[in-house]
Amino acid sequence: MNQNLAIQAENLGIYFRMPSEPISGTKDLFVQAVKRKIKINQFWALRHVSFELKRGESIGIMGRNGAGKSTLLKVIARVLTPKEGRIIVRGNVFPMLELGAGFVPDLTGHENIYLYGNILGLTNAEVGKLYDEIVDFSELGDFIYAPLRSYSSGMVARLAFATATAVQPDLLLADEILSVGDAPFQEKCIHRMMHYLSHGTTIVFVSHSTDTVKKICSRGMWLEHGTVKMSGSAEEVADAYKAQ
Amino acid sequence: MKNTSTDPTPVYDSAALVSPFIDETKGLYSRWFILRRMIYTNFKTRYKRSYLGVIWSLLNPLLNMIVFVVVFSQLFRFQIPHYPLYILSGQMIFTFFASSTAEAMMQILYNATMIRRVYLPKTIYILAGIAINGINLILTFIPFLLIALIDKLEFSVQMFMIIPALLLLSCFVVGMSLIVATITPYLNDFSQIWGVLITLWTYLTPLFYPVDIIPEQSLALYKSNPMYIYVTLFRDPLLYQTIPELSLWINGIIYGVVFLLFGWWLFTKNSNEFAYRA
Ligand SMILES: Nc1ncnc2c1ncn2[C@@H]1O[C@H](COP(=O)(O)OP(=O)(O)OP(=O)(O)O)[C@@H](O)[C@H]1O
Ligand SMILES: [Mg+2]
Repeated sequence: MNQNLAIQAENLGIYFRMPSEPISGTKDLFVQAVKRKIKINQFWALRHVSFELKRGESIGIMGRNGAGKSTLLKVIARVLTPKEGRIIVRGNVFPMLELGAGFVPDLTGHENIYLYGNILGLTNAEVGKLYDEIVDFSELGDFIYAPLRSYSSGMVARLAFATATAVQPDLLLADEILSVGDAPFQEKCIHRMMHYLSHGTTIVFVSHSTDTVKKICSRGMWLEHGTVKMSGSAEEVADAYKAQ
Repeated sequence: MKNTSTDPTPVYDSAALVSPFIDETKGLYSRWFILRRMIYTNFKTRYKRSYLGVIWSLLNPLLNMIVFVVVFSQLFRFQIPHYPLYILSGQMIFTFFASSTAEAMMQILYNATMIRRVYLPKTIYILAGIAINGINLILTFIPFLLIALIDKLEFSVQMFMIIPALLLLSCFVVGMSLIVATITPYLNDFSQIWGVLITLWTYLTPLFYPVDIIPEQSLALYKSNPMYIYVTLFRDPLLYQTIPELSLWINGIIYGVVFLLFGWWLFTKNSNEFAYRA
């Protein structure tokens, strides 16, 4: 087993049950038990996906809406366990999956920093030490004491990024985190990611912006309908994806 | 495949997840501080800016007790010493059980956004829900003490036996909660069925009537009800300076351990599926 690999994905497959035939209640269960035929339509959101990522590498995942990018990140983050194949991930994973993942809208920004920090594996004392730095970076000011419900999406993204990147992670998973931030904040985020990258962090970066992918990532992967359509250098894949 | 001692980096290998029972236990142990955080989060969101909420949860059993006392002491005239406390202590135990399981069923649903987006040992959600009800149970000792003083309840050393009684009850409640929490994602209206079962269960447990009214021939069956056991283990030492017979303790231990182990096994076996279904 290669200790130098941050991620090993072998023939990954993930399927969801089709919403047309859920066993949603006792009535359904009864009916289906009587019919003696529980038909489950499987929708494969990911299938036959294999790749390896060395420590310190960065890969940009591209693809149309519904291609399976977020699903792939959830498999790496252990949210979804694979139905088929195998995933091996080495190192502390700091996931930023979707906007506001790991946050609770009713809690204040302050409380959410601790919650998200704990979820990332940091103790209260550790979060406490990083707290000022996080608030600084997020530029939220007094809003930090307001419930998250009252934040704009950009503000949520700032807080998520600031918290998840307060300490250098082994593996950073970023799912379209820059899409709602304004230009100066995007710059700041990219700068920080490049800094961590040069210090050994592995990054899996999902974005619809091919330019950002080219800027941050060395490798690229293009997903289509849950399978790998193309993989190679970020440059190659981003250009091919853009030219489609 | 497994984490070697020379390499401190954590390794997640989906193929190495062979024993969910143990993996979950280890995961929970290494992340106990998240449990504390989730308890706090639940508490905050439940009593969202309503400090009256806490007061209500204290007042509720008290008001319930008054209703029962008024109704039953007029209707049936049971000869039960310390009748208000009899009702209140039974209610404390049963409410802890009923609301913990009811809450456990909803936890996967309430935390669906969290479950679909971050990985945490799933037992955390269930345990956090139970802990809130446990805190509630402890808080209801305040109204209990108040009534105990008014009712001139005799304080005794036997009272300390409520501690092992509550521990055994907690094992049973955690086990039962994990079982119902596993069923709900697969069967959406199970919570309705459970509500009916709980009502039935209330009547099968000596909460407001004495055990003497149960006919002799069904007494053995009646006493096999785990909630009868836990209510008795709690109430007899608390109100009547008696320690229940050993066989009752043994039954309480068996129910507690068996349900806890079975619930933990069932829940962890299925918990990876929750992110797909939540
Ligand atoms: N919980 C779910 N239940 C059923 N189907 C799902 C679920 N989550 C994702 N899918 C399906 O899986 C497919 C891939 O979804 P995914 O979120 O990975 O796409 P994506 O590449 O991230 O798209 P986008 O660019 O819009 O973010 C989609 O067709 C989606 O409908
Ligand atoms: Mg997505």
